[in-house]
Amino acid sequence: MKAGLTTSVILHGALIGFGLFSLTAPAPMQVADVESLPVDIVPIEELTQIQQGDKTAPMAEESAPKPTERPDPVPDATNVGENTVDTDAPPTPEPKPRPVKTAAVPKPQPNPVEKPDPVAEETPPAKPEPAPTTEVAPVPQPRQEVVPDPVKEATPEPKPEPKPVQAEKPAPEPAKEPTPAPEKVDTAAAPEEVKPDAVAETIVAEAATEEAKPTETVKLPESAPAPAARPKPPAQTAQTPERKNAEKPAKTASSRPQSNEKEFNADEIAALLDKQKASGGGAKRSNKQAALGGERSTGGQKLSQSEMDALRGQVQRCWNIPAGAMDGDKLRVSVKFNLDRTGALEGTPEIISGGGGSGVERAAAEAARRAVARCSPYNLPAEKYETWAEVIVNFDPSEMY
Amino acid sequence: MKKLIPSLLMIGALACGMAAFTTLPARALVEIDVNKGVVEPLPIAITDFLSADGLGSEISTIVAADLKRSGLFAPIDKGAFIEKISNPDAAPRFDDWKVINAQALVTGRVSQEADGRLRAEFRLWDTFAGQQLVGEQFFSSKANMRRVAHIIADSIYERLTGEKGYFDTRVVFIDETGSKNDRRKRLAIMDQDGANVRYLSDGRSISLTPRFSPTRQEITYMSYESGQPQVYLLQIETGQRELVGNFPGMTFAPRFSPDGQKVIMSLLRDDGNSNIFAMDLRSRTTTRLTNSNAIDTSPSYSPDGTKVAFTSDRGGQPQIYVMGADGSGQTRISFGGGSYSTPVWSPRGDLIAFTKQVGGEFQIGVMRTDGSGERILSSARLQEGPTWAPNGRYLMYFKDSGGGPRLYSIDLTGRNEQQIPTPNFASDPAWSPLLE
Repeated sequence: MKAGLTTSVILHGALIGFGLFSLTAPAPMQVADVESLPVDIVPIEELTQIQQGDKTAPMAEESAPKPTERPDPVPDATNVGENTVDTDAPPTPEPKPRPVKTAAVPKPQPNPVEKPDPVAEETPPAKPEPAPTTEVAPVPQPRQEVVPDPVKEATPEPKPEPKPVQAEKPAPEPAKEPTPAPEKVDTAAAPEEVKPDAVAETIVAEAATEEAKPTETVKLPESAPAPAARPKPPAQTAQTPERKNAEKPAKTASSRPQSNEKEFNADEIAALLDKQKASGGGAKRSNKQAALGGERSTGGQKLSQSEMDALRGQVQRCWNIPAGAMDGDKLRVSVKFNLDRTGALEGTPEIISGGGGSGVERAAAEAARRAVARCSPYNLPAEKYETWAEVIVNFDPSEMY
Repeated sequence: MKKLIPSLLMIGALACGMAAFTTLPARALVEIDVNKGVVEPLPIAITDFLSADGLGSEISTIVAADLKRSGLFAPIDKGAFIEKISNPDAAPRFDDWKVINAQALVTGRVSQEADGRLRAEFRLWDTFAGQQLVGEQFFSSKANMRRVAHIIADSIYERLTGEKGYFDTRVVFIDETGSKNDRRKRLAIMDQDGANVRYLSDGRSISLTPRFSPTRQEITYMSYESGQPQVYLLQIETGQRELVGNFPGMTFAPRFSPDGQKVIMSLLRDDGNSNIFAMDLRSRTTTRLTNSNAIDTSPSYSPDGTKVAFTSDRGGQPQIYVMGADGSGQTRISFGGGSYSTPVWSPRGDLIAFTKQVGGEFQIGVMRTDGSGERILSSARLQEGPTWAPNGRYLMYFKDSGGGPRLYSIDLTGRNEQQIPTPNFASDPAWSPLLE
């Protein structure tokens, strides 16, 4: 036991002794004697916005280079085939007229414009219903739709609405020639006079259902005399020819068949697709008049981030947040003010946003203005005076609480 | 003439064009956002009001004390003043006041009118903007000068903070005298600064939980006068008193509705359950609002009168509930640990103050009306019974830090806790609305 203990003590002692003398402290770190460098975060505009303006141009508030001019556009070469000279316009193939359609169109155009007018105005006294009759084709279409609907459902209520509108709008043009209408009545109206009556009756039924929903056939006789219902068929027929005029579709959009057809317009699609302005890329352009800049030009200088922070810190220390601003997001106030070269306030600070009304908002605006005034004079880099001659401070207490 | 008009139009258009060019605002060169600032009392210089006697200086002292107690203003020591105001009607030398960092300046004058009344006038100046912010004058008897000073303080407070003042108000409370085993509890009333204490009951029977009417100089309170607690109404000016309702059992925790037409309270039946009732003071009809097997008490109306906050232990321990003024839609809003009691709706309607008992101590706190945003303003061994200042920015409550209860007020931010001086121990404060 004792032997073990003594050997252990001796061995430990030897080990510690060895360590004490042989293991030395590591060599101290060599610290180079370097001066600390002040680092400033500088905006790159100081280098990139050196361009001042045009030397020959007069002085102005802001400097600007010569305005860029757009080169004259050269027309595309259009010589085709064996021509050696550009022709003014590419030869266009002669359009093949479509006899059927073009022939049909011109006739209705004059008629509907004039006819609906007398119809709308003069229908009650006389019976110039003929207007619809001139166009044989469109008339049957509405009928087929109109007739079944009222009988079965009696719900087509939208139709009566457009009619009064049309009756009013043609009004200004009116009544120049009531005579042409009757002329054509003689020719074509005869067979169809019977039919419009049926249509009118069914529409009268609609009118009846509008007022009271019962769809009983009993009501037909009651509404038979009503002249108001008759303008309806002419109105519908008047619309159809005018599709090609492309003016009225919007107004008459409520009638079903037309609106569906009118939605497609190839021109509009092209307009939607063509979003890019007709301009080329290239160098940065300037539209301003060439100018040599004013006395107060920034020369591309800008306060650096740390200088802005310093200014912010100065204002913060002076801004005594009004007690009422505790619970208001709407208490943001922007103050604009001018400084002279010593950093002192010049003139009165101006509230450019916020502070309207009275009470808390007014108190917030006054506290902001007081802060700006109290802080004067400001400690700012003198060589950059042009950049901080005018300052806007946006006060926003909403993050404080 | 016809030719003249188009040429005039031309000139007009030209002028407009020129104006548009010349008035274009020059581009601001530096724009910074500041969203931090200091929260410190606003240094304000309150000069002695000019007067033949010492009244002027007395008024300015009261004004300064009011503003200082609000915690938002720091009246500057009069010894630092450079300019001596000799004519309160003329603009002061603002530079003299800016030097001592006075951001606002109050000047005034008290003079005697021909009819014996006193005229007090004051002006509040913004020294940095160099302009007058408020100028008002008041006529009153000399006995009312304290109130005039409070009104002036309210006016300054309102103009500089943008919020209504609260200095021209009174506080009704329970004055406690005698030993702990034999306490006399008397109804008393005082100005909010502790002055003008008057006793409203003689103390032969115990009075508790006084509450101000929001519309009249009237309070409702609970008294043991008839042997068991009953709710009474008291006209402050006339001293006239009446029992509210005649219920079997005890009525307590009364409080007025915002229009002053109703009193809401809880009624304890023999079975040990208390429920909340509202009584119309005109028609004397009562409406039962809660019907539970638990203890529902401490009702308090919202300022628009559409809702009622109350305490109920239907969930096991006392928590705060909110219901419609007709008893509909009862929902629990407090979910923190501990038990909640005495909910009081803020006059602004945005917060509910409460007493919370947790971990052997009492806390005074506020929460939003949906129970969110709970904030504890003050913790102590024993404190209770918050009441709102009429502008909803201060709370008063009573705290017993050994010995007996005292009244304290605190800012809604939890800063600026101050004891209200009372002649004796005091409890159960109730803040009046702004006096008319």
